[in-house]
Amino acid sequence: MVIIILKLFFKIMNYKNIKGGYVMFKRLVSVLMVVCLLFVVVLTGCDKTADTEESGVVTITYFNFSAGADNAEVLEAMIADFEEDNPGIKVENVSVGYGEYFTQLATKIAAGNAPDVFELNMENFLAYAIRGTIREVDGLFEKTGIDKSVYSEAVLKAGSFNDKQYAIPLMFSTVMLVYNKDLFDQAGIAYPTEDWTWEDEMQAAKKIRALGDDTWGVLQGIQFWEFYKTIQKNGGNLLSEDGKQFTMNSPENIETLTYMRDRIWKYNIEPTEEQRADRGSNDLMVEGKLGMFYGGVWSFADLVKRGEGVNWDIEVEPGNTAKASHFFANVGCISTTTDKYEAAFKFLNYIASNPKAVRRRIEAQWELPTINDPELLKTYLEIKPPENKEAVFKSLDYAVKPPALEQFAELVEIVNPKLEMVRDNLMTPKEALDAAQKEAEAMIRLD
Amino acid sequence: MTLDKKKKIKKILFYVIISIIALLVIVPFLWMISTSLKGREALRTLPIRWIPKDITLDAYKEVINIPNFSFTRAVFNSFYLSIVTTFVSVMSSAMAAFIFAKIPFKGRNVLFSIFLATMMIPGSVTMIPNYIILKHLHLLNTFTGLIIPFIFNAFGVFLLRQHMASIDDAYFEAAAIDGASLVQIFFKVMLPLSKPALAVLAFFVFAGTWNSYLWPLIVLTDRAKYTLQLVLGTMSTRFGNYEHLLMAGSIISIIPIILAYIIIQHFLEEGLNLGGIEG
Amino acid sequence: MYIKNNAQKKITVFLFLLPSVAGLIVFNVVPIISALGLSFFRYDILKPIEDMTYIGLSHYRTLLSSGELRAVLTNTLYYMVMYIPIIIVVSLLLASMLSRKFKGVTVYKVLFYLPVLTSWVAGALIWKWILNGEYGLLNQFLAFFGIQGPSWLTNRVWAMPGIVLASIWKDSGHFALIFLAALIGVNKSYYEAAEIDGAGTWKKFSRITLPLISPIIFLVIIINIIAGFQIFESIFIMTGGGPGNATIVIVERIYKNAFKFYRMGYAAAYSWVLFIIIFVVTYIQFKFKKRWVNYDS
Repeated sequence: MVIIILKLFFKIMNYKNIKGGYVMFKRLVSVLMVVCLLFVVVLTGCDKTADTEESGVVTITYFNFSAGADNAEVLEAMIADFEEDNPGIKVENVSVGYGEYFTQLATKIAAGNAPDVFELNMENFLAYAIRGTIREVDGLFEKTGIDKSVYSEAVLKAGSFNDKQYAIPLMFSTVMLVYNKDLFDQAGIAYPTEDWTWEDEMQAAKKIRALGDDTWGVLQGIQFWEFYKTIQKNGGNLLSEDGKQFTMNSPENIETLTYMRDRIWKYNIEPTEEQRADRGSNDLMVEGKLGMFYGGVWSFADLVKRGEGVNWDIEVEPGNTAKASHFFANVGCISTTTDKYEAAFKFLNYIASNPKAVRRRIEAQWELPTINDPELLKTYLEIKPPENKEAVFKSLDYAVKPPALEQFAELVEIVNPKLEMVRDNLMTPKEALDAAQKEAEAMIRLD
Repeated sequence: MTLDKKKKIKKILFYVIISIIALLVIVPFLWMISTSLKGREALRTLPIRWIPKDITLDAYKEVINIPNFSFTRAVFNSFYLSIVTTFVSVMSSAMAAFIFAKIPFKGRNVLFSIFLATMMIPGSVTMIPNYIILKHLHLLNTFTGLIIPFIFNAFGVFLLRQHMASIDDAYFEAAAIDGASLVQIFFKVMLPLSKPALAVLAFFVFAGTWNSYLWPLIVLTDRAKYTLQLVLGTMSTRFGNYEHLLMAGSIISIIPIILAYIIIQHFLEEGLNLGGIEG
Repeated sequence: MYIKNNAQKKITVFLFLLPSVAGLIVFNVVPIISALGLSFFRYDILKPIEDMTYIGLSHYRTLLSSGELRAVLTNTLYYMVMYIPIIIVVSLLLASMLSRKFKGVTVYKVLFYLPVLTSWVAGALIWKWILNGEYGLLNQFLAFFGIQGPSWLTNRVWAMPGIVLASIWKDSGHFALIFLAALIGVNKSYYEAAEIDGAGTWKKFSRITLPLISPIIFLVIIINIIAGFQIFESIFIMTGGGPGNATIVIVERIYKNAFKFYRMGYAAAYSWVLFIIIFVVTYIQFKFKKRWVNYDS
């Protein structure tokens, strides 16, 4: 078929050749194209023969986002370890960027082409659990004799639904105040401590801001995740306690958002979008232009890589009337449609809790392992910078979780644009939160 | 100043202006090439360097070697898809156009106006239902599913009909007297006489398929079936600020289609001038 | 052409039309109707089709009351108001330059056509990098003249102009070729007559060329209005609809609602809104084109 089409194609191309040289050139290019094509056909042919399954080998697909670009090699190494220790199982690793992960996962599942194993963050876990796309794993724990308690309680919860375990916790992360010691020294202020408050942060930020035109006190940003955390430092929340109503525009929340906005627009200790000019917090930190930012454990690897000569450390985030820190967890799920669930289960437990895998994760500072073993966790504390590694675990004492909602993705889409209007000073905090409240009530079902 | 001199200056001026415009058009490509030859550290350094301090092909190597991310496979998929889609779409359009142009039958005009009317239904409107139809035909994540909606191409039928209608009936009558069947007339007389129009349509369908993104994005879910555009799109979210990789990938995706264009450029223009455009 | 009305003819007609007509019915007529039907239902793509629930006009009510549709239309208009005049002027300029006979014209044609050949994915990636607020080529160029450029794609005012800029770069070669075909078609004797009357370049252009190719200009405007309502790739890759809702557009909403929020029905409602808009534009074109443009040529 392809050959006939090609013939036709070239027949058409040779029609009415007028200029000799041009024709020569065209012929040359056509020949080149055919050669390329043949080359590709041969190559893919080879691919196919390599793909054919040897008897007795199970191949599972692992669809994931958190490896991103920075930890791709770590994940590959974990998989290689696993395959070595489990000769009967091969893992096909498919990593996608976070930005399109969930749409791709949805189209895969809808097409009946669900990956055997996939990663979910705790925010989106519920949406997939409710839709019956994830296999329950309590039975597999019993059957395989793997002890659930190798994982810590808190992270197990991130993958449970209706009191049953539906997923294996793979990694978790917290967010801290990352700061540049040199800038603190230059401004003549003491380094942050665990009992810092908003007021301390503000005073320090003002002094650092005074150091230069393009030197910034703090970078937090105003977006959904920062918002739901920061309001809890001020006694607010997105939802009422029973989870049946939105409390988006409560006075506490308006006050908090006003505070967040004022840091940008009133005191300008934090850059506006214009002043930030598409530079990320790590970019500014590496360039020595940023005193403090709110950074997750995932930002460490890049800071270590690029931030030579920058003297940085971390501390638990400052609070106001209360303290609050982010807690995020990613879980590994097994598709309800796969019959290779035992291999899948084995694989997930391996990358989550096998000492070799855990060590690799720790060495790469790729978020945090979900296991209970204090000995292994200690090795994490020993890797420096940052000096004050304990802050990572201390933050857990103040952990707040993202709201678990079936329509989580939509809620973000509703709230974020309004917050960005406040960030850009185009809406007052009250207007924005009133609008968010109204729209959330109309679009999101809370049952 | 003599008239000759004036003409010369005018000519030079013309070249200068057109060259400046051409430069503006290709600057993004040059920047793309320049970026792709840099290492990651050199991306975010100011002032801008057009010729990188350390020229390296690492970005290309890295892009080609991303695990489970086969560029060669994607090149093949893109070629395969574009060629088959072009063939299917052009053939089916030519067949319908032949009938509409030369063979009268009852209800022909009504049917043709229905064809024309569907030209205003864009793919983005029918995308969701088509997706669901493919889902129920179990054709999601297959090349067949991706291609089959293009079997109907209202624009193609229209373009080819206009051209075929302008061909003198005498050609066919001669063939018919010799005892040729309609099918033979179509393949032996009509298609060869319509080459320019066919080539124009083929190029548009080919380029459109080669560059299409949204439809493959929702239909194809298997990495092994990804086209170049999908691979590139996936890269863009995963390697967001690794611009050197993205630019290297982009260059790889552009080269084949530019080659294809250079080959048929001359031909294409001829076809366009033949009156492919109509109000 | 005279053809005997026999069985052979009937079979040929049937077989030759079959692929197109089948495609027309299965992938155009059925979908457009089922899109309307679907828009009255709540349908989650990850759940079985039996879970569909009828909710009447509810989707349309939400659509009209939420303000999102207004933002979508405002953004689209903002795009078109900038894009259409510029693309017409730029591609006409390119075409009139290319319509002259000079050495190397083919080379320039290929150069101008390169962006058209480039896929939107690649084009959007390169422009995203060019438009970067700090390290981007454009702002560095502006800084050379002492102008501090905005962070284009993350600024709600400048995001759309940034996309327009990329679109002009991408599309002008295509429309230049269309205009070029029209310019070549203009009868040379008109110009000769004008030259005898002593008309200059501009006068020849405005008095002869422009009126004669006005149908093509009109056509290009209509094509661009229809295409303008359907922009997707550029937006999807460069801004994803942001910042805020500054660049959300219809097709992006269709995609997001269907595959990110699992709301197929709502996406279908958006599809129908798009269909109605395009229907109206096309209708206006049919109705008024005779009145607006000169068809003497």
